Amino acid sequence: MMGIIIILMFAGFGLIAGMNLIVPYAISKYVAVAILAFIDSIFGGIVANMKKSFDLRVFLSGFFGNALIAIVLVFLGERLNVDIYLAAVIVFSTRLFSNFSIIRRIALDKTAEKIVNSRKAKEEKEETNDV
Amino acid sequence: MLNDKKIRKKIKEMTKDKKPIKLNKIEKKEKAKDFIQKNGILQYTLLGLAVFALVFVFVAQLNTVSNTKTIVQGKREAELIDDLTALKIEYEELKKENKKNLEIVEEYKTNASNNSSLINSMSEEINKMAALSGLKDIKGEGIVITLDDSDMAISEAISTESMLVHDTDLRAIVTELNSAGAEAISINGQRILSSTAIRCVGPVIQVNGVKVAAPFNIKAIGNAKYLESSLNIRGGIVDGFELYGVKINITREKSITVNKYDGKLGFSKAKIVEE
Repeated sequence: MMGIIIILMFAGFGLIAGMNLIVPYAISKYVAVAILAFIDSIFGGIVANMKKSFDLRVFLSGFFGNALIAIVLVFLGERLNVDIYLAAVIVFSTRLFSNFSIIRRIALDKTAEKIVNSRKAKEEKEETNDV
Repeated sequence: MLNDKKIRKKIKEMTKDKKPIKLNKIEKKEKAKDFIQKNGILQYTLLGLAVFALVFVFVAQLNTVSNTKTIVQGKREAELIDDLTALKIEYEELKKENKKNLEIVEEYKTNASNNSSLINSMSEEINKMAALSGLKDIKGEGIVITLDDSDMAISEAISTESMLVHDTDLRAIVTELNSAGAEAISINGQRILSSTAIRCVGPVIQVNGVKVAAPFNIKAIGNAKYLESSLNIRGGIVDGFELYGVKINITREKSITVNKYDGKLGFSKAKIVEE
């Protein structure tokens, strides 16, 4: 409960701070790639959480590190006149999809287990009633 | 007996109160630590920082993208072409309407001038002023200049830039003609007024806000001899053009007509100072 409140609070701060800011158009490409890196890290975090191997340090370092590398790639690409940022975009989006598929599988397995368990419980109840 | 008991109670309370206060501070600290560890507040604040970064950047980016999607970027080429044709049609219609209105005004003027000599002289004055400010077609002795970009092979030319006729060239010619006493000048049918701007807009030149392109046809009314020699003077404009192969041709004419300015003139901010 506490955690959700804290996170919502930070999200609210972000919303307020972001509302009043307009990124210069030249920088917007960097920001877009950073956003993609953030979303990718979040999906990775959700997968790790589902596998019960979530580590905050790994998550945070990935969250900010990935964004930083993506920004550096965009910068380098602009200097060399090659759209290297496309590499970041492709990697992040493919990882996003693969992570989503993992999430899907785990969630489906869990729901299937639940259904099976509830059926078993019902059958057991009926058996005990019969006896 | 009663007094003793009361005093003892008071003493007990005093001692009780005093000791726990000191303990409370340490306990509170420990409790807070426990609370933070149990609820994982540190982790959540760190996560919150990440969320803050994401939301902040996301909202800022949304703001920018929605702001920078101006009319031109949001529309496709086809839509822009549609807009252009629609505007052109509208422009033509407005031009026709303007012509009609001007005819009506002219009619009123002629009717009025028939009525009395005072009005007659006033309308004469109006005509004179209109001619001076460039709102009447004018004819008379003058010169016609034709200007075109150079045909010189690129390897021969000093630079490709200098082979073209620029806005600065046109301005220089207009200034030269005015200094030689030109009474009316037009470039490709655009009358040069006191408020005329000649400027470079990408690949074309704008005169009076209308696009003109090479070949240029410049008409100037005035003393033809003076006008021609002002351009032909040694080290003058014609010499400069011939160096780069820009084609310039000047002919004297007995009678040329310089057409009027077909835009709108008027003040929006300026007011006449009464003397």
